[in-house]
Amino acid sequence: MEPKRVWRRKRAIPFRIPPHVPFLLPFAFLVTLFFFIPVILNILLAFTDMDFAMRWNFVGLESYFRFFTDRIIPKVLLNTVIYVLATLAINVGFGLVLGILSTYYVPENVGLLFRAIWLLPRMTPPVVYALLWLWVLDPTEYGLLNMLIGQRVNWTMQHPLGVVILVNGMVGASFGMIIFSAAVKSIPRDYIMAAQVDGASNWGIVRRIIIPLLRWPLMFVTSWQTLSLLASYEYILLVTDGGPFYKSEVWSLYAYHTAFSHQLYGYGAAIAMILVVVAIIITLLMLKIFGFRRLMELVGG
Amino acid sequence: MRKWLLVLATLGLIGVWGVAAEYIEITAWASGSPVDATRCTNLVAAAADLEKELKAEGAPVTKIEPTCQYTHVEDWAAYMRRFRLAFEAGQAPWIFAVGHEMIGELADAGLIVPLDEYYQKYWDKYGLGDIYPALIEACKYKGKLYGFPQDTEARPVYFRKDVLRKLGWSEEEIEALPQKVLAGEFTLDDMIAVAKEAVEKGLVEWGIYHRPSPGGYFHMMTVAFGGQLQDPETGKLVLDKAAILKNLEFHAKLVKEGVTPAAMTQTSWRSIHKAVVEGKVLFWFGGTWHWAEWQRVAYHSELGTLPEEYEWKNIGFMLVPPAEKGGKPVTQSHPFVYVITTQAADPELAFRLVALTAQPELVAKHAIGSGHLTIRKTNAPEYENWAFAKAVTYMLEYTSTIPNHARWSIYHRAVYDAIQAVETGAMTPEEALKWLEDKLTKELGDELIVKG
Repeated sequence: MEPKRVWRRKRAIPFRIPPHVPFLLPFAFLVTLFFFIPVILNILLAFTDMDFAMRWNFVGLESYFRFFTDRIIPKVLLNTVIYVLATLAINVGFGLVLGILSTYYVPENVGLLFRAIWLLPRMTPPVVYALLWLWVLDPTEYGLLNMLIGQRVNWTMQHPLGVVILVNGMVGASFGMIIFSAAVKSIPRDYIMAAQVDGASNWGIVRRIIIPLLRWPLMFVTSWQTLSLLASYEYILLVTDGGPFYKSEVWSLYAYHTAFSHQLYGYGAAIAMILVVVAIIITLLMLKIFGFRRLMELVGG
Repeated sequence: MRKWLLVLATLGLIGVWGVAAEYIEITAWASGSPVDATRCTNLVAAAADLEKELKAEGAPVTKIEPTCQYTHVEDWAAYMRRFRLAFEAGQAPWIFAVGHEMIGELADAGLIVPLDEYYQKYWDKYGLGDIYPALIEACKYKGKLYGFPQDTEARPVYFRKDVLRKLGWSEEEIEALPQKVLAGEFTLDDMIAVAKEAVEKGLVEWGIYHRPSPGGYFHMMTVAFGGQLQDPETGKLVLDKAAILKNLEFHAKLVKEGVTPAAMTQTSWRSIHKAVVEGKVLFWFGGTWHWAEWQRVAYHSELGTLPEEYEWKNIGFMLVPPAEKGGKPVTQSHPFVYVITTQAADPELAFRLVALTAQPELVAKHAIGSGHLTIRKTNAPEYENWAFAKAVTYMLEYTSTIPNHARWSIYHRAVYDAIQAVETGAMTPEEALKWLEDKLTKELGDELIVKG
């Protein structure tokens, strides 16, 4: 009797939609509309020489060849490496300092205030944030920085790359700070108390207990920030616009300028495509180096 | 029920009235300096005349409603991109006011309509023969006319008379300066020397300023050094290496001599105008429209807007001095034109509206208000009596325009980039020329002739 009843029940409901599908649909729709379709369009676009006339004129790999013979590219690549590494150091290193300082060293409510202040740039619209920096860096005697040092320095012209690293670092550090401070708070107090009973110094506690336990958040912030720095350009666009003469032009901004300022959409798409490939390679390398699989196992276990 | 019928009847009546009234909206975009809004308001003013004409012809039109969007543009590339994307979205205006050199790019992309047919049809009716033929010629691309002249100008070098006085120049010497330039006795090198003297004596902060953003000035200097921009036979763009090298060296020298800031291309328009009107800069490679702009925009921290008497007393203007003794001075004109887009529902009507802005009164209103020059041979009395126009019109004999070519904006931007590289010290003039040649031969291919 038993097997027969099971068979009959199966026939009664032949095409049942799995219950998770409706929940996935909005996500699938959005990703298709705003990610997959643009990606496919961009791949196609990179094979054209589309310009101001906006014609789909397929020219094969010409744009890619052009990338490798473009004299500005070496400069742009070097800028990108310097920019990403230096900003990353600020974002992760300074973020870590802020995270630990505001949770371990100071009382809870002071830390909260401190973090709130550091979050201000992140809550400020990018254009406003960039304008504040432009005021700070103004080349005349009215610039805040020039007022402080009592000299007239044209910061954005003389140190364009340094300026964009500083601007991005200051806003980026708050991201690491939030993640790290949450992670520090989740460290069981008994570890720290036990260490204190054993006579460990504050620095010893930070070095031997807190930082080792922050391994996963550190890894996450590093890889996340690397990718977002590779792809981001809005603050650079607003503060130096890549200038003077490409001195602070990074890869993603060069793709943007090529496509939207010089209206060479095909070539701009090719520059962006190569960046995407490089970003994917970097992601895979990071997953491997940091052992993300072990993290996933830990979470799953 | 009765209430509903009433509502329906009202809606129906409104509908019928709307159809019978033939209400036509003509959309337009125009742009320029802060004082060029007459490029828009003249269209609106001409609409009333067009309405009258149509009524007289018995056309069923009772209302022409132009809506014109005016933008004060500092970044032309961004403005053109906005237009391009609006066009792609089907939101392009009927009429678009642009620099004549954009015609090549716009026509090649199929965004604007040729106007030859309308020129012919309305030539006599609107007396178009009174417009300077050279300006109509500037609207030509591949044998067809795509634009209608809106204004023109000259680009003089302004100098501060008050600073020259402090340098010990007599009133006669100052007034004779434009003549000396004309005679080829005062060269670009002399200009740098005077500027340097003024900076060294602490009379000014900087000796010579030029525009910060891409623009005709950078090509005018190529012409000043005897260069060519376009091949008259083939219409191809020309990279005149000898002249461009001299142009790059000139800008390197400006910075080296300490008369122009290395960050010139990073300076805002506002601070440039402020420095010029306050006499903190001796020479300014400007345009006739600045004369009007200074009178209408408050750049001076004490005076605000400049009274015209102040300008006559303290600011003089001359042609761009020749590169060598006995050489020919130059200037440049940048005729602004109205083009009509392929998205205009009725291009003929748009053409008639545009042609009506060429009436002497409207031309005079725009010219005097914005510091531009007339497009007509016969003008309204107020223009004829305008002292500034009288004083600068001789410059048009030394003028030239930038080319009309579909890929001009690539050339345009690259030359600007090279000059910026030289001024900021990123490259030497030779390196910048090499970079420029490499970039342009790659990007323009057949459309470029490399000379020298």
